[in-house]
Order: sequence, then structure tokens, then C-alpha cells
Amino acid sequence: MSNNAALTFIVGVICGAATYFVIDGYVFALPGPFSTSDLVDLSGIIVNALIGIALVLIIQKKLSDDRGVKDYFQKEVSDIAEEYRKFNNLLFKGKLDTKYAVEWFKHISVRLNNLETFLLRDLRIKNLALRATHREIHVYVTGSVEFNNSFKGGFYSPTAKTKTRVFELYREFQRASIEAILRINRA
Amino acid sequence: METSNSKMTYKVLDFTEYPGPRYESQGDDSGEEFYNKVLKGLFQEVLKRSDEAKQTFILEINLDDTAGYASSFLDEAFGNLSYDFTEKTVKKHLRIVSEQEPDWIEIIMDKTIPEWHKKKLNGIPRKSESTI
Repeated sequence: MSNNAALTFIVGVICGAATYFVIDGYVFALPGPFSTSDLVDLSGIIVNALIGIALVLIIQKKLSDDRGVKDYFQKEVSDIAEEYRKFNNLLFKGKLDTKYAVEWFKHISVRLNNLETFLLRDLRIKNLALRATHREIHVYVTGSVEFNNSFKGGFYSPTAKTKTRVFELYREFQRASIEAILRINRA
Repeated sequence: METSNSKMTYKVLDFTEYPGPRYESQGDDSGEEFYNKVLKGLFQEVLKRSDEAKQTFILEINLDDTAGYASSFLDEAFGNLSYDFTEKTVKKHLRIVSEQEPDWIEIIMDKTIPEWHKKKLNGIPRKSESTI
């Protein structure tokens, strides 16, 4: 079929007016002009094709957006875990200022609260142990006698018993961090 | 402090921006000081108003906007409240509010208040050796 003939056919189909057309010198006849229902069918096909293309583009963007959101959440978990590492380093060396510790605990509590709220809302991830473990460490450390005794100045110097317990809880927090990252990835 | 027909609201921030340790002897703005200078009086006032108005008056304590809490500050303040006024009365007239650290609400209402009430019932003094 020549280009002109093909063009004539397509235009004819779309306009519903091409009853006759020529291909290589032969005249072909179509059974009358296209009816309204034919045009509706055709436009339906075209619209459906356009919707399909749009859906592919939207889904691609959504997948890309979800990846961005997951990356953000995973980085937040990772950042908090790093903050914990630094904090515990000070605590175990006996270089932790009591007032700084109280503010630090609140700062991390607020971040974890936000993190778990958004993970539940956006990725439907629940029952993470991050916040609960953090709270347990917070209550244990700031409830200890030696912590309260160091409010007047100087650094907090935890007992061996406190260090052992904090270390156990810190390991739980690390495990909870890894689990959170894996679950964000799977969501 | 704000007062309405059925509620009295107090922010710990009005007491201090930096809540301190458990006891007054351990540092400034302690839980013990907060209880004795603020919380106890407010709660007594709430009970008095409830009695006068013959309806339940609520004391709402807002924990937000301070620098943060040592758990012992809250334990001492709200524990003493339960020790002096009983768990039932405290739970009826006290509401804790915290958007920033909502976990404290559960800890105070479900742990601190019942534990200190039991402490009183068992004849254990409020200042035990393990906390001094």
C-alpha cells in the first residue's frame, strides 16, 4: 500500500467518509461510511491506548516516588542508629553530661515518634520495636540513682550493672533498626 | 495556668524549662519540688472544686515544650500524687497531655500511679533506699 493510499484510508476511517480508496491502481470500496458506533468504538480504542500509556507513566513515577520515600525512611533509621552509637560511646566512657542526655532522649523520642507515625500511615508498617526500646533505655538510664546524683554537675558515670543493662537494650535497638530497614524495603 | 468550668490546665514549662532530678537534694527543679510546690496544691484545688460543684473537675498537666524529662522526675511527681490521694482519685481527676512524647502518658497512668499506690498500701515509705 502506498503512503498516500494508507493516509487516505486512515483519514477516511477517522472521518467516516472514505467509502472508496485506491491502492496500486485498484479501486477498493468499503461498505458505506462508518457509523457513529464505529467511531465510538474507534475513539474508545484510542482513548484506552492513551489511558494505558498514562498509567504506565504514572505507575513508573509512583514506583520512583515510593523508592524516594523508602530511601528517606531508611536514612532516618540509619541516622538515629548512628546518633545512638555516638551517645552510647559517651555513656560508656563516662563522658555523658546529664542535662545533654535528657535533651538528647527527648530529641530522639520526637524523631522516632514521627518516624513510626509516618511509617504506619504511608507504608503501613507497624509494631516496630524502635520507639519502645528507646523508651526503655530512656527510663532505665534517667531513672538510675547515679544519673540523678549527677544533675548538679559533672558527667554521668554509670555503674557496671547499668552499663550491662544499657548494652543489652542497645543491642535490641540495633536489631530493631535493622528490622525496620528490611521492612521498609519490603513494603 | 488556665481554668474552665470543668478543667484546670497547667504546663510544666511554667514551672521550669529544664526539669531536673528526682529529689530536691539532687539538683534544681526536681520532681519532688514540682510535686510539693505545684502539683499537690493544684490537685487539692481540683478536688475542692469538684466537691463544691458536685461534678468531676479535671487537672490537665501538659508535659510539652520543656527540654525533656528524666523518668525519675515524672515518677517522683506523679507517684507522690498517687501515694497521697490514691490511684482511684488520681485517675479520676488527672489527665496528662503530651504530643511530643506521648509515651509518658501511658507510663505515668499505667505504671507510676498504680505502683506508688501499691507502695502506700504495702507500707513502703515514699523514699526507698533504692531511689536515694
